[in-house]
Amino acid sequence: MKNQRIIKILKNSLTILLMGFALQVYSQPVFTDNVTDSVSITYPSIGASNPNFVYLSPTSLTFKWTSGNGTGRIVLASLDSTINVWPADKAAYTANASYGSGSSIGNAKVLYSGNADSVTVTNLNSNAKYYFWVIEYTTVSTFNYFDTEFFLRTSTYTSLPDLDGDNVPDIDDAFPSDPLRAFITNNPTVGYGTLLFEDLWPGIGDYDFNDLVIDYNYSVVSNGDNNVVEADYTFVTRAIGGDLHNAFAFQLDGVQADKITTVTGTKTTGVTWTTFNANGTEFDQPNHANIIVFKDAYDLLPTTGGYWFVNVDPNAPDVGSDTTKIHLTFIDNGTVPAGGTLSTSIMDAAAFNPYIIVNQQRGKEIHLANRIPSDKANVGFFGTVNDNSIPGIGRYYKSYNNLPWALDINTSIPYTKEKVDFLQAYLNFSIWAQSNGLSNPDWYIDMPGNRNTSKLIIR
Amino acid sequence: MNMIRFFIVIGIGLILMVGACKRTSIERNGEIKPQQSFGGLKTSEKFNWNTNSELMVQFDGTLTDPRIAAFKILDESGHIYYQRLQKAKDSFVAKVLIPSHVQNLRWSYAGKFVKFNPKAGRIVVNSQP
Repeated sequence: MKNQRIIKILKNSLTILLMGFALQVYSQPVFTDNVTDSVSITYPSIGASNPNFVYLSPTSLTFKWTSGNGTGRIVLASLDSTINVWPADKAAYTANASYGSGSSIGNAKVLYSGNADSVTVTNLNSNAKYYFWVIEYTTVSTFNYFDTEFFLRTSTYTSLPDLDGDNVPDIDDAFPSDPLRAFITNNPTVGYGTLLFEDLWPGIGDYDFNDLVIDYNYSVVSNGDNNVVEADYTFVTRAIGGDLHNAFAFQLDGVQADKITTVTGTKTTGVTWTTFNANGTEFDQPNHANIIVFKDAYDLLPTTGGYWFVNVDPNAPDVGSDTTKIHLTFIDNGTVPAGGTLSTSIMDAAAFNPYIIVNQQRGKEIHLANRIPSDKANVGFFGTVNDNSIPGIGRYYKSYNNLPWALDINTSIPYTKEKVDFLQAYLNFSIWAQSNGLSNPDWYIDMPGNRNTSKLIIR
Repeated sequence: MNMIRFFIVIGIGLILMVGACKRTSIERNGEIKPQQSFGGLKTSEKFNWNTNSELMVQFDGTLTDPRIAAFKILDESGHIYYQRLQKAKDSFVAKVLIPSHVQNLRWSYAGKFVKFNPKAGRIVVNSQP
């Protein structure tokens, strides 16, 4: 029984073996290549090298290389994934530089076959990754024999469409048909921020932070070289809760005045306490450009109805607000100012340094905490009365208790009624401040528990 | 007499302890007490009163990557906090101001989007797909 089983297995195995042999014989190609049988092939020993791409458009490029020592070379390309097969010796492939029109070898398309050292490829997808192989071959009697040992492998990306040619893809370009402009960056990103000042520096006031209340917003336009082209500032003066006739200005920290071509829109007519450069920036500010926005808040919002102040008493008439729009031109229609171009990395959000000039006494500036004064500030005020500024360590406009004279809120908020302590209106401010900003970072947002609206002017 | 001296010393000690407790706005358990007046605030010398927080952005370029695209930092509503044209082969470091109440941001580059929390204070951008 056991022997019969063994014989049966041997019989079956022999049958399978014979069938396999027959199949092998039957599947041999009809054409037999006598040449390869009689000629020895010398394959190329030096592969192509030094790949280089010249990007002509989002859908075309010129691919260059240094050729190896084959009689020719075939160029393959694939989209998104690396090439996964080799060309076969002696096979006839159709090359076409329009991607997808040539022969396919696995996932690759044949772009070129010949003895040149570049090919201009078209019909590519934009914003896509392509893999390229350059394979040297030896030609013998019209057949190509490919060097699979030394060959060039590389990859590249195609770009996105860019109508105005400023290198900024249209999808990211706020001005897709203007080669001089590309990006707009707003600060705050939406709406306005609010600046709140106490104006008795270096003395301490009543901490209602409404001596001057100004909303602000600015946008910076930059080009494809990341240089500032222009900037627009909007200042909305909302309230005056003090009797000093303060001016308002801003400094661009680190931006020299000769980087600016023109300043327009300021309200400084009749000012006698300072002078201006031809471009509209303040004269004699050697280190940072300073822009005087208006010379007197009371010029913009006069008192009415016999009240001393403006818009801080709920019983007083609503005087409304004043909007001042300032335009700064840096690069004027492609023309760079005397001081050269200005990178956005210098004029970033931290460059904006707003301040008031107390009662138009030019040297008496009040800035946000730890912001540097202008070159016209009278440093003789530092360290007097309640001020504990120490320029040597970069400490400015903070009291001995580290309290500021100005606040910058990144969104527009209501301000306090006259003589109302700021903490009475913004209930979580003190937690935020005393936790060094770690707790209640959203104290200024209009959320339950954040505000006592009875202490605020809300119109 | 000694007893009187003892009670005086104890009494002065108690007064000093109570006074010390009143001076600080932070209770022993770490809880911060709200203040009623701005002038009574006690803050660190390093506190800058800024409603924006700083975010350090480090973009690590890849020398062999020829792409050029806009690098942006956006919030969930698409508001842009920072943007610049950036070559993928180049690197840069920038300081960006982010409103302190904003928690969810993302950066984008050449079709890649990555979410992050700005509270970390620093992000390292790998632009590779």
